[in-house]
Amino acid sequence: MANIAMQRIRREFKEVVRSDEQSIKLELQEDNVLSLTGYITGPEKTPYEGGRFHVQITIPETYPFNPPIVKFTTKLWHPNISSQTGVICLDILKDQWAAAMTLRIVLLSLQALLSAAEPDDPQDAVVANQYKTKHSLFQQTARFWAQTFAGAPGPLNPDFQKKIDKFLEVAPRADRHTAIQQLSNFDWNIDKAIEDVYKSD
Amino acid sequence: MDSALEIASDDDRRSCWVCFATDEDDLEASWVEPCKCKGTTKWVHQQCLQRWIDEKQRVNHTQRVNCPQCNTEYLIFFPKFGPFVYVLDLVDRLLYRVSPLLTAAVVLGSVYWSALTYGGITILLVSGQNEGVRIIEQADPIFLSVTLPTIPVMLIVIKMVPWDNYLLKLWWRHASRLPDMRGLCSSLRGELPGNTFVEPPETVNRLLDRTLLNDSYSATRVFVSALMLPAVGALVGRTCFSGVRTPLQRTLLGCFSFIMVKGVFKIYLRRKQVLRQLKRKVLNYGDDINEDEELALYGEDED
Repeated sequence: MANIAMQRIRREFKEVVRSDEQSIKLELQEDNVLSLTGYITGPEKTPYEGGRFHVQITIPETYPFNPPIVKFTTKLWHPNISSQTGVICLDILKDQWAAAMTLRIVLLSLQALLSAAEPDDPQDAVVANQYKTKHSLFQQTARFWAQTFAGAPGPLNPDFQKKIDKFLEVAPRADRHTAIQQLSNFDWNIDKAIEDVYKSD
Repeated sequence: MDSALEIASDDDRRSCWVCFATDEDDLEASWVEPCKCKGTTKWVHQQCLQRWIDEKQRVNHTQRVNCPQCNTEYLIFFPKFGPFVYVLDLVDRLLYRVSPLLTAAVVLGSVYWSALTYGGITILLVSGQNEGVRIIEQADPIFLSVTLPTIPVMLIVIKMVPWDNYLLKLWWRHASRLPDMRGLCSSLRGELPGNTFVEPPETVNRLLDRTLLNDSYSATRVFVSALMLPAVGALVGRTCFSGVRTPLQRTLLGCFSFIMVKGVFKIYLRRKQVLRQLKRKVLNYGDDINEDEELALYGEDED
């Protein structure tokens, strides 16, 4: 049965290559048809604009009867995507999957998810809470993450930079990723972020 | 949709929305247009669609399946069975329904039969072989079929009354208030709460409850000791009360004395266990327990 999966992926792959869309891209990982990398660019007028996000796509043996397993490998700050693991909460990747959907549709849906989050059905509760209660801080944080991890253009928020440097001074064993994750989790309140690091030590 | 799929929208070159193969890829396959969809999701292979339906019906294989795009329900046609297969199918389904009931009936029947047999054996044990056979033969069979199985049930129900626990608690509560009692049970002297200990009563109650809870709720223990009682009673009666004339009286005396003796030992043991809990002590780190102390802690029962 893996036969159907392989045949379909080959056909879909051609479709994406031929379609020549700029905002999404699909690549094979080491000639293994059942494991692919997708790229999407952040949609315009969102904090993700100009960023390039990688997703890892694993095709199950039972594809297309079951959905592909997709997760972000680029870190990003979004209510429906885990800021720690990149796991995505999207209905078409779960029970709303239909065999007529394609990897191209999945990538376009992820792009749409970046423009329109669903904070009421969150994957990352901390991000969703910030999205709902401190929306402008959420946008600044998402922008900062896109610039830091996905290469989005523009000057980095100097206030955030300062706080990261200060965090690293106080907790020298932490790396920059941890600092950003920790500060974002605590709405950039440096005291709480540091306190939490020492609590979990 | 782009190039490859766009071509598929005209009926001449169909494309399956499951495997994406076109007419050219597979000339043999049979096609179906099962819903209102037009364009790329109009055509699907019969085989592919059936596999999709199987996937959707994995949990419940009678569930209806709709087209994921246009939500039309798929109509699935099953060819009719011939009369012989129809009957076989009917019988098959009937057996499937009936077998859980039959299993339950067999289990219940076995339990009833075991209880009945146990009741009969108990009568023989308690009233002696000859008398027992006479009773059973004279009694109305219907009466026996109801009363015999209730014998083990009654034994278990009676066994579930924790009379020894009540006695133990009563003893504990009143022991300190009755100075005379201490003279009687001299071995326990000095261990009574309120005398040597200044233990808060909740601690005593908590330990008491914990110790008692353990055995009063052991179902297997209740079951075994309730069902063993007639046999043990008969044995005790035969060995200790051989002077008594009728086997019935002998066995009843045996049962009663066995229960009493066992109860006294049990109450004594439980009381000692609770006292031991009350006297336990956590050691300082690094302290070895010396023998004197060990004696002082645990050695009080060497009476």
